[in-house]
Amino acid sequence: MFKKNKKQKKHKEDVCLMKGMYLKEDKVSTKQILFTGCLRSLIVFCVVFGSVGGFLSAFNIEYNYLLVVFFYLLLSVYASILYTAPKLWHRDSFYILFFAAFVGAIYVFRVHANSGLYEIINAVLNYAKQFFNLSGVIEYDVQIDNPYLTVTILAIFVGMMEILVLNVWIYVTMGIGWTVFISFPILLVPLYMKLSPDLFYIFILGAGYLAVMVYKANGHYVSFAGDTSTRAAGLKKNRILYTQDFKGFRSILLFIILSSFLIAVIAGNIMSPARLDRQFKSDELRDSTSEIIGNVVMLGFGALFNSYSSTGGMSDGMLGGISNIRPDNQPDLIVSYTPYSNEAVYLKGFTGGEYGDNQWLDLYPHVYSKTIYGPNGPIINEKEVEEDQPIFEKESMKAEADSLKKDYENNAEYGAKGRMDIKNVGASVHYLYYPYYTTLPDYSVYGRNYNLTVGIDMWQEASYTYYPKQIWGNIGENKPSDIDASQIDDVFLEVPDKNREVIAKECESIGLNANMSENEIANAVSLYFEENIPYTLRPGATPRGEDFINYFLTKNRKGFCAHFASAATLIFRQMGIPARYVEGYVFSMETALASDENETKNYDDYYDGYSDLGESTVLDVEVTDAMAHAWVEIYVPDFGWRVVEVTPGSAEETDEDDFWSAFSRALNDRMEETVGNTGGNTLSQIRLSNLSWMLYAVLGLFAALCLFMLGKMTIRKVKRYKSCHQKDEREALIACYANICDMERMCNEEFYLCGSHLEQLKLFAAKYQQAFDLKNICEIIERVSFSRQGIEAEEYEMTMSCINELKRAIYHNANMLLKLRLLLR
Amino acid sequence: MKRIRNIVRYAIFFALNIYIMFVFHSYVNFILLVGMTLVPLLSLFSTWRLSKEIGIAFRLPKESMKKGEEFNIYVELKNPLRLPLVNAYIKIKFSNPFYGEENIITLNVPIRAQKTMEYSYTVMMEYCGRVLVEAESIKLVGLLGIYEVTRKVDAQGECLIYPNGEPRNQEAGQTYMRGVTEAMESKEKGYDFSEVSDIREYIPGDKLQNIHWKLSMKKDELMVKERVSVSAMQLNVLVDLVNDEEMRLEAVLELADSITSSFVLQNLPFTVYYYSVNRAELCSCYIGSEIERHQWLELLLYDSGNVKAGYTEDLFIRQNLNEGTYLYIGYDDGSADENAIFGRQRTAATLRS
Repeated sequence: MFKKNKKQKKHKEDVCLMKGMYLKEDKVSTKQILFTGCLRSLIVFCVVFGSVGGFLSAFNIEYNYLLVVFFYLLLSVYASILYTAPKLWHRDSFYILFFAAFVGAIYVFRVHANSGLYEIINAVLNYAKQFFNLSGVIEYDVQIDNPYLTVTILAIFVGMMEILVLNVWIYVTMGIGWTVFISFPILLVPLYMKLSPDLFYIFILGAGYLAVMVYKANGHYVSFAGDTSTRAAGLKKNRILYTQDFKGFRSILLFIILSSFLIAVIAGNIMSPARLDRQFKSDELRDSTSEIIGNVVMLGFGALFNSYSSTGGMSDGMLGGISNIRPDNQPDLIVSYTPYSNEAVYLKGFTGGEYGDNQWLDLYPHVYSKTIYGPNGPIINEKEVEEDQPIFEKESMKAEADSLKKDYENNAEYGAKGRMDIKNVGASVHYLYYPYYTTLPDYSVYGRNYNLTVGIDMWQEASYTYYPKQIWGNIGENKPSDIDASQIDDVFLEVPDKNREVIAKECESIGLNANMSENEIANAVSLYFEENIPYTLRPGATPRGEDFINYFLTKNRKGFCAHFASAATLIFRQMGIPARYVEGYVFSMETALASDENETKNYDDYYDGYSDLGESTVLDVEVTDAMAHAWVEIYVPDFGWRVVEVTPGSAEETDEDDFWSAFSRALNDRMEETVGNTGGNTLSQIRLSNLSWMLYAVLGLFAALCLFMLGKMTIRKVKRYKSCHQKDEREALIACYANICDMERMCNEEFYLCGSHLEQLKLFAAKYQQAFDLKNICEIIERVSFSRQGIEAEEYEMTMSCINELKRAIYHNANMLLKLRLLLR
Repeated sequence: MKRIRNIVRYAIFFALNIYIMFVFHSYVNFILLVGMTLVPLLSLFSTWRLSKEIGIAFRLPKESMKKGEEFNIYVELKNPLRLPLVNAYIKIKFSNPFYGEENIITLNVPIRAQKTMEYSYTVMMEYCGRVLVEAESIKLVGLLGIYEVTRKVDAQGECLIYPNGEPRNQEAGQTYMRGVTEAMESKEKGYDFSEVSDIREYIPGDKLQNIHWKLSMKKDELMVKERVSVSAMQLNVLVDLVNDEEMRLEAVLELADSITSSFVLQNLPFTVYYYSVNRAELCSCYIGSEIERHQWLELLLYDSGNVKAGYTEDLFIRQNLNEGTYLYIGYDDGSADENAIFGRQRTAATLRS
């Protein structure tokens, strides 16, 4: 009996063909494994390239095909070959290595990737705008205006992630469901808008899907390093399956690609996308969902919950799409100036003249129209620049500034001159952000110096000379005489027809009448808003089809600065007061006082003349995106444009007080502090506060890794539990015994030396002082391991009880570290 | 079951594809739909065509193999078409008629396009006998796993597995000499060391000792045993091909192989007796060279090892072939003395008379 068992043990790895005849298991060569892996990576490549390339081609977005194909192939092969690593930790290490390289690449190309993403979003939004007949869709600014490059980089990053995820499913389950789930949803976006990918990508995608289906249907997709060329299937081992056959794989794949190509060509010739579309008489999906999807396109997915978020900063006059604001508190501007009064400092950016389609139109249609690039850079249209000049002067209040300048030069009582240096570190590059009553050079200067965008370029600093008007809070009584005022246009008195009724009703509610002065009306509006309409950073988005101001005043009755300023602008206009909507940045005296003093700069260089505060110092104020604001300018005859603040104070807690915002702020502060202590950062182009995202990425990576390990551990535990509790008592017994042997091997290296079950059990008995029938248990285990004889219920119970006892003993005798390892295995 | 799963999976994705196509008016899904319609047809066609064209053959070693040696079994599949398949299942019967063992194994291989594929499988035989490999049928599974064609095939190959006994020259030589000496002594004592070749009627002048008395009584006339003189320097070897659960016949064959090869190596001629199940009689072979010995082993392995215990020796004695001393190779029932040659598993070669 014993000899028989020995014989069977000898052929444990072999497949028994009949009594006495064994098929020897031979290892598959590394070359075979590698080649099969490479071919398998082609499936992943086809699916990912088909989906990403198909998406881009549907929107006619150009990118560098060669580069994308190269990177996709490279990564597909890399990810595929990871599975040929002989040990699991090799694969895990190479995954980590890839993630590190990926994070590094993302960091290096973050601006490119962002720009690429915005290019794609803008392209999608452009199509969506036409498809859903939308207005007021926000277009995203791109920092690098080279879509060919940026889209290529983004496509590579997106594809890399997709490849990595898909590769796991292809190797583990070859699941068509997961493959479609990972690759197809991206195509639903163009498909919904009746855009179709190029036939080439459909062919590639179809070939990938077909390959997955064929291999799933036929098996042979699970193969790992150290695999054998054949594998016995089933308990009776009466089937011998091949595992990895490179040439067979290649033959099938070639056949699939060829078939897919032919099918795509045939199908492409018999039907075009337009012709297919004509075959369908109804379009229920789009009819029933275009309203919702249109809202989503306009407002983002938050539209489904009415909770689209803005990250703060200016909205460029675009109103409808924002439902709540979550400022990141990152600096947008660095302002160097000398405080001269306790009043807040307003830095003017965007000026809206005409209101319509939920947006304020800028006063400079030429400038803000799309920049045209020629072979030698931007093309400057001299005529347009000339046309914009008077408008620019009106917006910047040149007449008022000149008048105040005159007062200062004539040593008037309240005359003063200030200098303000403003550095753009994160704000939109389209605006100048100048203080009130600044003498600006001709518009054409900006036009030429700033690449046709009359704004401050990123990391550029602009220096302004302004003439503060010290008494603008009291127009009526202390109005300075002989002030020159800008000319006004009719546009500043326009109230759109759709708003007239609501605005008139609102004026009535406020109690405004024609006899009231501008000052009285401004105060009344401010007071009414303060008392009746709460300020909130989460007002909810304006639903599609609703007018922003009407919705705010009639239904929503809550909002943030843009709501109040927009509504107030139309109210003032309704009352015959020329008004315009302004966006920019505002910082209070408290903010200024909390800022760093710049000792290297001279007060005299920054301020001269009357000051409420006397001689102070030059401050460097960090103006964050949370300080972006909207307000109203009204025109007072013989006085000019003045600021009216109609936004009530906020009583609610801001979003920045939540854990993650506070954590983020603390992190940034900490990092900056650390760098400050060590002598500062010499790389002036990189702000360390922006590096915090790297830490997030690493934390995210770590969390993902933990989740991955946890998942793996859970799967292992579930598998172990299932095998130990299966119906076949013999198999269950073997699994349980193997389990305690594995546990013991982790705790005791000597266990490796045991050559038989008897020796193992002897070691167990000696080490854990367990009293069990050694010979009997050994006989039972040998019997279930090496013969096909059954096992009695009593024997099973006895052996299982012994194994469980041993399991407990192993665990209890292990030290803390080993206990942890045993738990995590 | 797998086939049903494949059909269900395919149906689900087919339906999903149609749904997306209709809902989105999707051109992508239209192309996929065309593909999903044509691919099953293509799969069906390729499977059907392949089932008509595919050829199968086995190749096993032509030279004699020793038991325990690894050798390759080659399965050749000929596909003259440009249509590949992922799975072909070949039902193969492996048998060893010597022991009456057989088993059916299904071999799964891919079919490459327009190619003669040769798959080799390294096997090892632990027992002696004749390995017979016969293909019964081949099942071709379509690319999508939802269509199968099974075809009868006729291909076979065989290989003989010889025992691997090591020559034991000294022991065998001594035993041989002892056996022959005992035979000579028997002859001197009156025993005739010749073989009965025929029985005929009495002719005057015949030796009385040649009269077959029993038969003469039955026939009521004198019958005489006609004898062919055999050299006195020859030994009879009786191999008892009895098997049991412990496969002790393997040890017997190994011992017989050891001893007979030693005899041949030392140029000691002998006649070997064994019971042939196929011919249902006791067979004998005179062996004077390795070629003759090899032929005898071949005959033996083409036969069967399922002989009843003690039957061979009984028959041997009953047929009066045990004149003189003979060498019995079989199980040791405890009668073997120190002069016997012992094999594995309580087997021995004992001189008996």
